[in-house]
This record gives sequence, structure tokens and C-alpha cells, in this order.
Amino acid sequence: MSAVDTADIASAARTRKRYAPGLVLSAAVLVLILTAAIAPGLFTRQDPLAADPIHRLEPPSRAHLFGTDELGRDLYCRVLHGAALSLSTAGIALAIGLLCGTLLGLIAGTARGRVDDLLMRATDVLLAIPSLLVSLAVVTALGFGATKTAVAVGVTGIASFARITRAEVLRVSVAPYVEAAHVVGVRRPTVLMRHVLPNAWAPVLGFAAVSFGASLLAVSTLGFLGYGTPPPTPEWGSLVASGRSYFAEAWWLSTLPGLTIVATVLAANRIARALHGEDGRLPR
Amino acid sequence: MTLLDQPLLEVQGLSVCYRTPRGARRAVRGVDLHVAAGETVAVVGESGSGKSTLAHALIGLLPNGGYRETGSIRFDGADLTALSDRELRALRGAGIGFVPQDPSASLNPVRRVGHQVAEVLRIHGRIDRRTAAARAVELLDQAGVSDPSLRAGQYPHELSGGLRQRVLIAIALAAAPRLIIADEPTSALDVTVQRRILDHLEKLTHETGAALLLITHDLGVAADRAQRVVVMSGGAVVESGTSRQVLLEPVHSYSRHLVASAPSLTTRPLVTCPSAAERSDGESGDDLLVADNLVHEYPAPGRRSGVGLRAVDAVSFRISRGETFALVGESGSGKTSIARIVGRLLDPTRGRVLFDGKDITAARGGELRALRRRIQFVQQNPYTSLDPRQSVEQIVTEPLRAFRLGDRQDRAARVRTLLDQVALPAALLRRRPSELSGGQRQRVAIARALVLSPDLVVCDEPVSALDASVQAQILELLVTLQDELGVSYLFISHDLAVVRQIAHRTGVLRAGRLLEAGATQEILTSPANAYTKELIDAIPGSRALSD
Amino acid sequence: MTRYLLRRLLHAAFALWAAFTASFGLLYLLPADPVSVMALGGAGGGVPSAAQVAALRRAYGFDRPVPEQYLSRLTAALHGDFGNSVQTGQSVTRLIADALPQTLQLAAAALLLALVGALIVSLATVRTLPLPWLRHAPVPWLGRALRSLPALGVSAPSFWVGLMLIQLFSFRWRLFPAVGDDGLSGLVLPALTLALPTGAILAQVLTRSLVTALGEPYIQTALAAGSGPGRILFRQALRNASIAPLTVAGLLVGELLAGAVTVETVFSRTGIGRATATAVSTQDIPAVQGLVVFGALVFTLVSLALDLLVPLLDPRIAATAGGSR
Repeated sequence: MSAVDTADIASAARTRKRYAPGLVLSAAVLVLILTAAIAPGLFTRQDPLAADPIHRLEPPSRAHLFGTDELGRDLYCRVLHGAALSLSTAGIALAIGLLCGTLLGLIAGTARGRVDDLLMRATDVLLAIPSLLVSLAVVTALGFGATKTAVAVGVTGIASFARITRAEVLRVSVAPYVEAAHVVGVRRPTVLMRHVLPNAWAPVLGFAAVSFGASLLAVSTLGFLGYGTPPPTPEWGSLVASGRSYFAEAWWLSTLPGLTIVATVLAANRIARALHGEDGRLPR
Repeated sequence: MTLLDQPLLEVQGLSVCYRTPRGARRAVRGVDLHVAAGETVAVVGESGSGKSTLAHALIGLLPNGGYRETGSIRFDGADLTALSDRELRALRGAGIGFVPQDPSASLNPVRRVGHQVAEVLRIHGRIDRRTAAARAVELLDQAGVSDPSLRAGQYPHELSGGLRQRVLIAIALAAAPRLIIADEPTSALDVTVQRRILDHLEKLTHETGAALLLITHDLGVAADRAQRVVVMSGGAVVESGTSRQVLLEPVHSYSRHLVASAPSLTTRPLVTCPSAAERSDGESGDDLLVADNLVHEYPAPGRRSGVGLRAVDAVSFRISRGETFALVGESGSGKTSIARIVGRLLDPTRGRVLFDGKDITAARGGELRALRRRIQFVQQNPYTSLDPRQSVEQIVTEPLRAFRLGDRQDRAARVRTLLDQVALPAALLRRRPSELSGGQRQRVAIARALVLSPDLVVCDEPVSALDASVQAQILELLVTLQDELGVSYLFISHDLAVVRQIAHRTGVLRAGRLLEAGATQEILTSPANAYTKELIDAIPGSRALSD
Repeated sequence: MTRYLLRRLLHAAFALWAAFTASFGLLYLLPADPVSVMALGGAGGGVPSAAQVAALRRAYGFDRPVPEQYLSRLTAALHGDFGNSVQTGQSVTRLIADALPQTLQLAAAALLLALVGALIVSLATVRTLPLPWLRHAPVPWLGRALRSLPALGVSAPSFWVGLMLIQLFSFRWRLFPAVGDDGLSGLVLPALTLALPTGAILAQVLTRSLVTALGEPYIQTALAAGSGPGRILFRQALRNASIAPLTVAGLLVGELLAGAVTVETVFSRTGIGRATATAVSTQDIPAVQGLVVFGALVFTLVSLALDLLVPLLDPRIAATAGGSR
């Protein structure tokens, strides 16, 4: 049938083998970085804060895989130890957006009427201000620090999650099988728990997976601008920023921490896409 | 064979495969087919028979992953399989016109229809923009589009389905092709529209002398329109011959099965209608459901107050115990609104619904839940009416759980009984809907509707999403269950042929009004209303049989 | 159509008011004592004296009740007055107006680069798809490379990309200046950096909608009528496919403004972004509020323009917009 045929054409861009090498590589990268975040001691014995003025600004070598910084600290070690802070900040930010957003979206999608209108207007406003500006305003109000940047980034995700959740709840609510459940006498809360939520959940989670990379980028950006954890605690964004001053003579200082961010985000996005089935959709 | 006898299109041993992750899948197997100049040939088959793939293979437009494995396609003496891309493009449109399946999506939504017709002329001839536009208006006129110069400036979404299909016909005919391939050209349209479009297509091919290859799932349509019919199943041609031959003396077992299950062709209804004497259509104490003067209005878009769109307009009917009452109408007739009002999924603007003597129009809360045990619903599309995350067992058990009926063992036993009644093997209990065929899914939906032993089941187009042979099985099942359980049906359908088989009594709806109602046999044999007559005449297959 | 326009205008005004109110709540009410926050930033790290704080409190009207503060600030904002920067004492509106031309130039260049780049990448990607009517020698690796390009673009933090560009184009090859905001050559690297994430998202959206459009039945109709690849791609698919990316591009203009914060910091340019970074670093509350509301204003104006533009491209939307709905 040609309905199937056209779907074939649409899927032409997505044809991929079952175990795409990119996907395997992404999983490996992510596992490695997560392990580093939980137990950095597995990969390095050095102290991320130990200065060694004799070996300052040394290029990458066998002894110092990522080279050393202006105080002679091992950059590889600092990146590994920074993983925990960067990833957890991004994770907290994502969790804030996901929890608050889905809750609001659920309320809007099930309550409908005035409550729905009010909540959706509120998300409109949140979406009308570029997300980085929202984060910056929150940072201005709350002050600097890792948790505060997590809140600042998390807040910007609320509107998107609320919209997606609401849209999914509304989509599933009008599905014939939900109507069928009402017809056979299933009570409203049970219909919501048994039919609507399980079927609305998957796309929201898919979007959450896609958002993790963006969340990490936003957190790193705030760190780069200097609103995150103050030095000397290593954090990926601030590592890139601190390398700027010696950039002309020591290329590795900014390049390698930044490359770590790129690798992590790329891997997370690749896996999210595989989970999601397609590229993450932009909200709205 | 002289040159004159040479067919316009000659296909020999054509096989088409699709590349899939599990290797090549053959969709068309060694098909031989020929169409003479000016002849109409129909290819009939159910979904998955390969008929659509065949049509696309002929014009070299197989979807991604499809390729011709073996066989030859000769058109007008030229071997199409040997043509270059450029030569093939010159042939498409100018040599072979194509009328696609779905009029709602087959026109480009952001371009005026006049441009879309004119573009074909610009591709195939040295013709300037202005002449092409003028010629496009003529072509639209020829295709039976009223007000062609106005329509040419409109966008597809401003036209009805029937008009869009006429525009597509104008596009197919624009460059005066000698062969037209029509892939299910009317299956998305109402029967009366279908009939008018097919009439017009017939007239046009006759006038221009073009040959027509009609791809259809409807044996009735094929028999009505074609001189010869080719029956396909599983990618292969199982039978071919003149329309009368195939229809009246099918040789192959599959064709026999297809002829037997085509609703438009069977003469034998599954239920016997009550004669006028048996039923006094006045005050019967045995009425299970009485709909009294139902009105439903949708708020008119944009208007603050005033009269809205009236979807249901003063409709009254009654249904007795153990009876099937059918409501027939085309799209926009209000039939689904009535089904939803009776099923208490929609509140009527005015009017009453009496169930078992009680007014249920405003039933809420506990009263409504009690009612749900007695009135059940079977939805149109079995592909969307079952929760994809539940197993068959969970789906059928759900009503029992909702009303806390029986313990776990009782429920399991009840579900098994029901599965048996709807003729599904118990092995399917653990399956999910995606693992079932369309017919099996609809059986599950019927089992769910019957598990509470309701008195009335509202069936909203329960077979329209299914192939003809599966349709026949589901209709038989519904009748058998009615005999066993004494349940009443309110049966909603767009297809008089289906209704004829299953309904004791029938009402004909148009634009929200009930034009007439009565015993099905009487409505069909002596319709009182002109529209009913038009509906009956539009049933495909009637022409072939009456010849 | 006028009613549609009025409705959109009303909607825009509401969004701006709400943005003002939200930022007021966030910046003036949320911190326990905004004055000491500002004073801390303003005093250059030193602990402000009690007299300084009291003076600030009076100057910024914090001694008055909240509703009164809100109303007076709202009225002032309606007249384009967001108060004075704590840091410089300059009016916030002046600050924005002075910084705007530089950022506008940067954002416009970046938007142009992003649009052109996305169009080229998307069309090239579509050409490598195994579509049966696009017969050409398949180069699978090229298709894969093209398809992973946008994914790479959205994964790279722009502050890092900027530094990499500086490293290569300024330090190594000495083609463009590393920092500063003079002339066209100084604009190239910042505009590229700012364009990358935007262009990558646009390319993803455009590729996806092109692929969707090419799978629509009307493409079959056109093919069956004898249209060639050029007609199919440009006449049939591209216009349908450009509606979604255009809407996204509108949303991304706001993100360009936000992206200017990092890009202008990396390249040491003056502009709105740099001003924002400075204002946040010094917790200059009036300046931050002014900049946030300005961001909302830009976004709202762009979406208003889009609301008027999209119906021209898509007659179906024009029908609902022109109707009385």
C-alpha cells in the first residue's frame, strides 16, 4: 500500500544498522565519563589541587596526558575530578526542569479550562525570554555557585517540559483507547494512571534524554562566564575559561576540557536519539 | 500478432522486491498483464496483495528499497525497463498518467491548484506561462470541476475531497496520456461522490480514447468499470478474465472467497428482516432504546452567539431487544454524533434518550457508571482503540476490574469464554495489540464490549477499516453473538451494502436529518427518498450484476 | 485579518508585561535584600557602609511598599526608563542603546551565515539520501558525514568553538584578529561562532522537514506527472519544508542575542552581550532587568513579524488567521 511506501521514503534518512559503531562509541564514552564522575581515583592518582610550579604549562605528555596548567596542576586529573561537579549540576538542572515541568504539564493537561490557560500563558512568558537570559537573571538574584547555576538552568527547562507533557497528555487523552476505557466504566483517576500516563510518558522521557546535553552545555556556559563554583574547584566550563589567559602559549588548557564537553554532549545526544527514535524535537 | 493487435501496455513475468533488514521481500511475483488501447482493466486485491506496488512499478516510481527483479514492461512498443531517467520522465504524464490514492494529501498544500495542473503542461510542452494557465482552467473544466477559473486560483484545502480528486484527474490527463493508471482513486471518498468521479473518469477515457488501468480493493467497483478484471493475491495474479467471468464464475479459490465476501455483491443477508406485519412500528413495549428528537449543535467557529453548526437535526428512532438498527449516511451526516450521544459520550443540545424506559440523557456519576454496564461501544478503528501497552487479557479483563466483578479466577474464566465466543485462540491472551491483525484486534474490541454482558452495543463503523474478507467474518461474528446473547446493536455505517447484511431495520441520514427509517429490505427495494435511491445506486457492483 | 493582527498585538503586549513582572519579582523581590546585593557588587568587593546602603535604599525606592515600587517601575519602564545602572550610574536604556549597534551587526551577520549554511547543508544532505528518483552514484560516507555535521554543531559549546577559531585563524594562520570589534575582518570569527549552534539547529529542522515533505503523496503526484529532481526539490518540497525552519529561526533570534553574551566575552567585543555579562557579574539589578526585558522585546517583535510572514508561505495558516477565529 502506498501509505506504507511513503513512510518508507520518510524513514530513508533514519535507516541505520542495528549496532551502529557511533552508538557503541557513544555508550563507551558515556560509561567512561560517568565512572570518572563517580570514582575519579580509578583513572588518576594525582590530586587535582596539587600545584607543582616546576612543571607549569607543560604540553600533553605521557606523565601529564592533558598537560599542566599555570600552577603545574595536572589538567587530565582536573578534568576527571570536574566531571562529578559538571555532570551532577547538569543532572540536577535537568531534574528540576523535568519534575516541575511535567507536574505543571500534567495539571494543565488534566485540569483543562482556566488552570490550563493560566499555566500555558505562564510558560509562554518563560519561553519569550531567551533561556540564557533567564538563567542569568536567576543567577543575579540568587548569587553564584554550583547549585544556584543548576537552579538557573533548571528553570529554563520547565516551560518546555510543561508544554510537551501537556501536549502528550492531551494527545493520549483523546486516543480511542482512552475513550474505550471510559466506556467500559473505568474511573477517571484509574484511566489517567493506567492508560494516559504510561502512554504519554515515553516522549517526555525521550525529550529529557535529549535535553541532558543541552543542560550540560548551559551549565558549562555559566561556569565559563564565571558564575559557577569559584576556583580552585575544577568544573569543565571554568577550566576552559581559566585556560583563556594562557591560550596563546598553552593551547591545551582550553582545548582539552572543551573537547571533553563536546565528547560528552555528543555521546549523550547520540544515545538520546537512539532512545527517542529520532532527533529531539524542539518544543512549541 | 500484427502491429495493430499489439497491446498498449504489456507486462511479462514482472517481479518486484523490497530490501528489508531480513533480506529481500518479494511484493510482486511474476505478473503478466496487458492493456489494449482504449481498454479498461481492473486489478483487484486486498491490502498486501501487491497491487499498489505493481502500479508504481509500471511508471518506475517504486518507493525506497523497491526494485524490479525480473520481467519486462513494454509500453507502446518501447521497453520501459531500458529507458533512461530522462526518457522515463518524458513518458510519465505524457505517455502514462497517474491518479493517486489519497486526494487529501496528493496535492501540494501551498500551491494553487491551477498552477499544479499548468505545471504538467509546462513540463511536457513548449508552452508559455499564460497559455498554460488558460489551458489548466480548460482541463479543470473537463475534469468536471465547476467554476474552473475560480477553483484554479484556490488552494487544495479550500476544496472538498471530490473536487480534489477531480483536480488530480485533470493533472493526470493534462498531457493527454494514452494510458491512465488510477490507484484506488475513490477509496477515500463517499459512495455517491465515488460514483460520480468514476462515471466522469469513464467518460473522459472514452472521449480521449485513453486506456485505464484501475487498481482497487473493491470487486464491485472493478466489475462495474472494467472490461477485464485481474485478481491479485500475495503478489501474484491468481485469476484474470472478463468482469462477468470473474464475478459469476470465479475459478480460483481466492477469487471465489473474494466474491463471496464482497458486501456489495452478496445477495444473502445475514439476518432476516421483520415483515411489516410482524412489527407494528408504533408503540412497542419491547423498546430497549428510544431516541427522541435528538439535536446536536456545534458552536459555529468565530461566532459568539447564534445558531451553531447543526450536526444532528431532530432525529428520532427506536431499537428493540435483540434487534440491529443501522444508521447509514455519508461523511457529515451526523451518524457518529448520534452514536456518541447514545453511548453517552456526547451530550445532545436537545432531545431525550430513553434506555429501558428510563431517561438517560443527563445520567451522571453512579447512574452513568451503572449504565456503562448495559450500553457498550465498539469503535471504528481497531488499530487505535486498544491500548498498545496492554495485553489482550488485560484489555478484555479491564471492564471486570473496573466494576470489581469476580475474583481473579472468575475473571480469567470469563475472558477465556469470551475469547472463545469471538473465535480467538487462547494463545493470544498474552499478546499485545501490535502483534495482532486488524480482524483479530476488532475481535478483541468486541470481546471487551461484551464482557459485561451489555444489552446494547453501539458499533461505530466497526468494519470500515478492514479488508472485505475480514469484514465478512466480523459481520458474521456479530450476528452469531446476537443470536447467542440476545444483544441489540446500533450499527453505524457509511456502506449500505454492509448494512443490508446485518441490520433488521435501517435509517438513512443526510446532513443531520433522518430521511427515512424502516425494515432494511423495504428501504433497499423500495426507497421512499430520492437520496436513499442515489445511495443504493451508488453501491458498486450493482451495474455489473444488473447487466 | 485586522482582528488577527490585533489579537497578536495584544498577545505581544501581554508577554512583555509578564516578562517585566516576572523579572521584577525575580530580581527585586526574591533576594532577601537587593540593596546590599547591589551595594556589594557596586562597592567593588568592599563591605559597604550603613550610610551607603541607606542612600542606595532611598535612591532605588526600596523604602516604599512593594506595590508602589512595582507600579512606579512599570510606569517608568513604559516610558523606556529602567532606572540607572548601579555600576556606572548611567541610565540602563542609554546603556542598551549604546551597545545595540555592535550586537545588531554581529547577530545579523550570524543569522545570515546560519541560514545560508543550514540551507546548503540540508540540500546537500537530502541529495545523498537513497531516494529512488534521485539516481546518482551513492556516496554513503558523504551522507553520513553531512548528517552528523549538525549534530556536531549543537554539541559544541560556543565559548569553546570561539577559542578554537581564535587558536587556528588568529594565532596559527593570522587571518583574522583574535579580539576587538573593528571592521569586517573582526566580525568574521565572532559571527561564525554565533552562527554555529543556530545554523546547526536550523539544518536539523530543515533536513527533517525536507525529508518529511519528500515522503508526502503530493511528491508522488508530481513525479508521476514527469517532474525532474530540480522541480521536485525546489518547487514542491522546499516551500513546504521551509515553514517549520522559519518559525524556528524566529525563536533562534532571541537565542542569538543570548549567545552574544558568550561570544562577545570570548572575542572581547563591546555590545549587549558583554554588557549583560558585566551586569550579572556585578549583580547590577536594574541593568539585568532592563536587558532581560529587552531580550523579551526582541523575541516578541520577531515572533510578531513571523506571525505575519508565515501565512504568506502557508495558505492553510492564512485561512485560520484570516478567518474570525
